[in-house]
Amino acid sequence: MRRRAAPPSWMLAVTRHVLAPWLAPARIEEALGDVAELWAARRHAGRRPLHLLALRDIAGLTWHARPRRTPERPFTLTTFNPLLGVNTMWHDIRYAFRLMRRQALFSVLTLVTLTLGIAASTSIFTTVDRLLWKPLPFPHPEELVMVNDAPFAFGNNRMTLSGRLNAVTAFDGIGLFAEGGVNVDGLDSPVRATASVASPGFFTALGVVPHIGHTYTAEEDVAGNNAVAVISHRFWQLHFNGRPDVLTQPVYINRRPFRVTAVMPEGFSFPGATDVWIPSGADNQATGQAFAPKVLARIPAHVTWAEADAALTTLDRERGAPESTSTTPRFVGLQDQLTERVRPTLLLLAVSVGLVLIVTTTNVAGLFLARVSRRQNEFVLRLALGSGRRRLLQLIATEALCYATLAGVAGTGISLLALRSFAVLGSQTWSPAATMLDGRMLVISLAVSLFCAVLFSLAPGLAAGAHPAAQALRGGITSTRGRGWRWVRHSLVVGQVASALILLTVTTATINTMQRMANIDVGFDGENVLGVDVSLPITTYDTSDTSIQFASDVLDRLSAIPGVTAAGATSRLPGDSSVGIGISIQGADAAPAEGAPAPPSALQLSASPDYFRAMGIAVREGRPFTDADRAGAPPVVILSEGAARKLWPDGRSAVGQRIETGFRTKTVREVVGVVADVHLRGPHSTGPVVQLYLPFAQSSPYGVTSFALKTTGDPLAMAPQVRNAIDDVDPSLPVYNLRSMAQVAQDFLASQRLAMTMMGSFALLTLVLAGVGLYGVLAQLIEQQTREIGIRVALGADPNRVRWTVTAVALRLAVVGIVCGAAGAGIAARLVAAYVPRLDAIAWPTVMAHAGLLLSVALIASWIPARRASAIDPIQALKET
Amino acid sequence: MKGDHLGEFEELVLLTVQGLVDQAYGVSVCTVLSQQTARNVSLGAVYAALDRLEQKGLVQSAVTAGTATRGGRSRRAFTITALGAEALSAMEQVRARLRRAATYRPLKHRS
Repeated sequence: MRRRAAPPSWMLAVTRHVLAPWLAPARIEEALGDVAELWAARRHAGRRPLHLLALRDIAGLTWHARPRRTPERPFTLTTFNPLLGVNTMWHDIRYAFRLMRRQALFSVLTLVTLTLGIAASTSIFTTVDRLLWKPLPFPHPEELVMVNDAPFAFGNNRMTLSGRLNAVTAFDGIGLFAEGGVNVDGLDSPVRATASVASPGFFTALGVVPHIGHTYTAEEDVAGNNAVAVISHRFWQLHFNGRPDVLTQPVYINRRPFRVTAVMPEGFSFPGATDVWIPSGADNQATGQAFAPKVLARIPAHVTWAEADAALTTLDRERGAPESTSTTPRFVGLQDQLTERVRPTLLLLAVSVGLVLIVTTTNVAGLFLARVSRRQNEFVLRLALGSGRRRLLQLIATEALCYATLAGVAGTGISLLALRSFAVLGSQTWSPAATMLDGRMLVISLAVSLFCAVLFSLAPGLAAGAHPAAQALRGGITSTRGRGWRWVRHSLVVGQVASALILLTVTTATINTMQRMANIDVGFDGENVLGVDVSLPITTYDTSDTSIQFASDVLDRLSAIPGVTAAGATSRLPGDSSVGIGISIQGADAAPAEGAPAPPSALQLSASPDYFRAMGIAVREGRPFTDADRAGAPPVVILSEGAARKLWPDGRSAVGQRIETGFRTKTVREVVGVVADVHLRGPHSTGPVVQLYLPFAQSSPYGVTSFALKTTGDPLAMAPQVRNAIDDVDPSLPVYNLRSMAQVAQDFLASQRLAMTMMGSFALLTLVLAGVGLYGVLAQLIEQQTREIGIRVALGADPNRVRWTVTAVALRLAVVGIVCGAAGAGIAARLVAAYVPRLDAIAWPTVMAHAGLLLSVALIASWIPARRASAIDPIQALKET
Repeated sequence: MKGDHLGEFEELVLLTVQGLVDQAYGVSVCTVLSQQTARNVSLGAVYAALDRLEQKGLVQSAVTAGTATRGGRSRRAFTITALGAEALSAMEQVRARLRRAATYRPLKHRS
């Protein structure tokens, strides 16, 4: 029988009829074509199957062609969905906090460690940033230089910048400035203002545009025309209520009328906290006894220092200048110069805090690593259920970030408090210290926190999933972790021990230095002594008689205050940072031998009879001044021990000798006494103390007159009476700088004390952290080796021996750390010696002692894990795993 | 929800369309699937799947002229779209991951 290649027409008709309700005509045609095609393809099958199959196809088409109730939506790929990521992150955060709550001890330990680390580093780095790196608030601060050893010119009874220096075209402005203070009258009450003497070039060099007015010009800086002043924005607001007519009204400076030419912009107070700037020579009292200006210049970017230098030397050669100094000027960047004194301390602190930060993060990394290995099963399960490695890393990183964020917030809060104590460093740099929260600080603390988070989540993250999943799921990970990871953890601990040793060593050196300095006798006893300053304007106190009379009147009233046991007057109290006058002294009786060395120079001070008693300055020989040493009486002098030794090195008694002193006119004076050396700027000031005291009545101070009062109680409580006493004599004088001299003595070493405290706490922190780190490693080790130890105990191992095995690990790590740390301490010693000049050398016996301390910390840290190990119940240990 | 996912049969049809390149139409897909899966695949099911895939944007169709065996009746040729190819590879990855996990699955739990 011939098989037909096409389906019978009745079948096509049935198909068309059946499909008609369901399909569009075009689809029906297609279906018919399909039926025909399939028929042709199956034509070798039997007749009945052929028909049956065709009918089934048609039925199937009918069924599947029925209309859908809901139309299909376009397909969307679910592999990437940003919103989903946010959801998982939120999920992770909640998970992290759940875990945090569940493992309270771990969380508290981690958070406290991190907080301390972040707080320490944020505050130190902020201070370093603020004082050393933050650009000064002037345009192009990098172009500003200090010109040290610059030549000056003298003329018209005033000191000016050398004309040659002024002529150097390499500078975009050059000017001198010196800090001081002035009395400002004509306001609501007499005011003592921090003032600076500055030449017009000073403002040109700084390039700061005034808020209103103009800074005085060179034409206004000539004698007779120079009663001009520039005031700060702060001073303007405080005393002139920000009135613009300040420029038209006279301001009385040291009782002479001055014209305000400009108000500087807000925040400008350079140098220091200057409120009033006046030209040099406008008021010679402003800078006190001596005028020792500094020179500021701007070297534009297109001129190199070498070129500017060359310009100076060329000028020197060409003019052969009579005014030249023997030294050649040299440039120091302004910021470098400003931070010269605090840089070593700050760098030392920065390095230490860096070490602390490393120890902190490695420690937290260790803790995390330990915890991750405990959570190994969880991670493997997650991997097995299809979570990618990246997803796991995200989970761990989120946890780390949660910790870092919490610790970052707490740490920033703590460092805000800590920053207040750094103000003392700022006070030495002419720039306000970082005591406020600012964007840079936030950025720093954020960076530190993130750095921590990345560091301590990286290792655990990589470690997660290092195990084959099947093993983990089958029975949990029972074996000790791979050698590689154990090595990492061990080196973390070794690093911590080493850091602790380095810090301890350097700290001891700092503390030793500190103690050595604290033990130096400053020469005075500031306990219960009140110091107070007044400045007598020469316009009123134009003869020395008037100022001597003033001082004696004030002293009479001060002595009458109940509770005051002694009151003295002087030209300069300890702690005064102004520049003093050095005068040459030499024995008057022996004519100087030919070619003898130049006579020594001594700091000249004035003292009233009771000054030595009030300040507790010991009279070593002879007598203090008496009321008989008045003007017109035989000239007398009291030397400091250092001065006496300088003049008569053979040790003969100075009392009764006569010396010749004087700046311009020489006076022969009889030495009536020798007093203790007084460290006026603290025990760390270099050079021998060579001082001589003249009777106040024979040499009244030129700039500032200071009074010292020995009291029976709290000296500062006397302040109102002291003010009243001085007001009584002259109500127009501002009374300022009331301070406790004990505090002054304390502040001498404030920055050292701060450094010592910081270093000490860093060292202690590191020590504790190293202990925690050791404990963590050991605890983990025990946990992982529970089965092994169980077997050993089951086989009859001595518990002592088990304990020793654990302790030995701790000791081995500690010893390796100590060896590394000793090497590091050696290097640190050299670095420290280079950067901190007055620091004691590092003594190896103390290093050994610290090593012993670290070993005992290691022993203590291993004690709990060791006990836990020896207490393992073998049956339990074997059953559990 | 179906819009986001690829059913098992849909995936097979999509794979077949991809494999047949420009020769994919109802009958050819149906034939290949029947042969490869050794099961009776109904032509209606294939068309339903193809229509769904087209609605989801994973395949596209074009009407072409019919051959003599079809009595000159037209047919629709299906081709896979870029989205379709992407969906297939995503599915592939899911499977690979699951397979990896499956090999880790313990045969028997310890007590």
